[in-house]
Amino acid sequence: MAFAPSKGKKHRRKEKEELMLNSMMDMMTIILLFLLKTMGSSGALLRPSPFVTLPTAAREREPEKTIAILVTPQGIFEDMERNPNVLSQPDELSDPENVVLSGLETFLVDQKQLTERLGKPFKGQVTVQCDKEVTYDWLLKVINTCGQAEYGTIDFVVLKAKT
Amino acid sequence: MAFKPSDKKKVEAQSTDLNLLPVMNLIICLIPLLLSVAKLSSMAMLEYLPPAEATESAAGESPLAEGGGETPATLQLLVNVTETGFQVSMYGKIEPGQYFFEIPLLPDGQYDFAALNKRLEEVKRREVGVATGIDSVMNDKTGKMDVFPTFRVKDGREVSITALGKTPFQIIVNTMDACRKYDAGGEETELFPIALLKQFQ
Repeated sequence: MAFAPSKGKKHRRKEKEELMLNSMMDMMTIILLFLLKTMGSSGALLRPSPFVTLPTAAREREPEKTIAILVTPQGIFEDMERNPNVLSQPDELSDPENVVLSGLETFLVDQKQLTERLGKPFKGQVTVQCDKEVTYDWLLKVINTCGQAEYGTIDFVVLKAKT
Repeated sequence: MAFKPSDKKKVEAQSTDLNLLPVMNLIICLIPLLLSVAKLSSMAMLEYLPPAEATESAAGESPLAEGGGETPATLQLLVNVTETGFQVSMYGKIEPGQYFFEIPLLPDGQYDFAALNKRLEEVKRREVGVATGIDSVMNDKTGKMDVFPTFRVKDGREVSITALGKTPFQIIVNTMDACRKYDAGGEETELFPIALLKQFQ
């Protein structure tokens, strides 16, 4: 003989079960606010270029994005996310007779004139993402060219050394 | 005759739960985006001021004070990065002694940045000494006055660095770091934070 069906089962109402999202929302909101605050205190966004391997240094100062260039073993480029414009070729950089890099100088002067046309104060500041394998003679040419174009402050982007 | 009660009164209040799913979706998209941007916290800035912007005390000036006194006016600290290691020179000296010494490469062929850092701390203590006063200069970026110590030698915070043309940038950065400060068991001492990159002579 079969057992009688349980009364509990028979009368159980199927209640609609909902996920309790409130606590998750609280957590997400806190994380979001924290990240927004972190970003806000970091100034303008500057992302490491995929075209360079940055050197490490024991520095703490946050980088700022001003007029930015990339110095790589393949030459000097305008800092762009994709297909950056070439400003100086390796041949020009390796030529010992070349002290000032014409392509880079033209770019920097153009940027300076653009800033002035827009009515912004010219700070003479350039941000350089320089590959760690770039040699000292190339580096001096970049510094010399920046100085020639009246850029008095050169900010090299580095990775913070782990202490 | 009384009016019939309104039908609306019998309507049961419906549950008005907020639909949080779209907000959750938005937040879940925003968090990875912000986390990817937060990578920049691993980046820092190495500020370099070309010699014209520095105090210009190291260039073309006699190392001795005016009037030929005993107290030197400028230290003229120079660190050469060579193939065999570091050469450190003061007061323009090139004869081996306390004002010119070399730090050879480590047995594995690497530069000995720790030894350079230690020797520069000795130089700072011996040749520059304690601060004799303070000075300030307007910082154009922040619009505030930067205050820094002054020493009995005018270039007590400067070091000139030269290297062979083929020296990688990472070595230059490490050399600048070694010249910048000395960490004595958690207590940091400023050495020569203003580095001037010059042509190898």
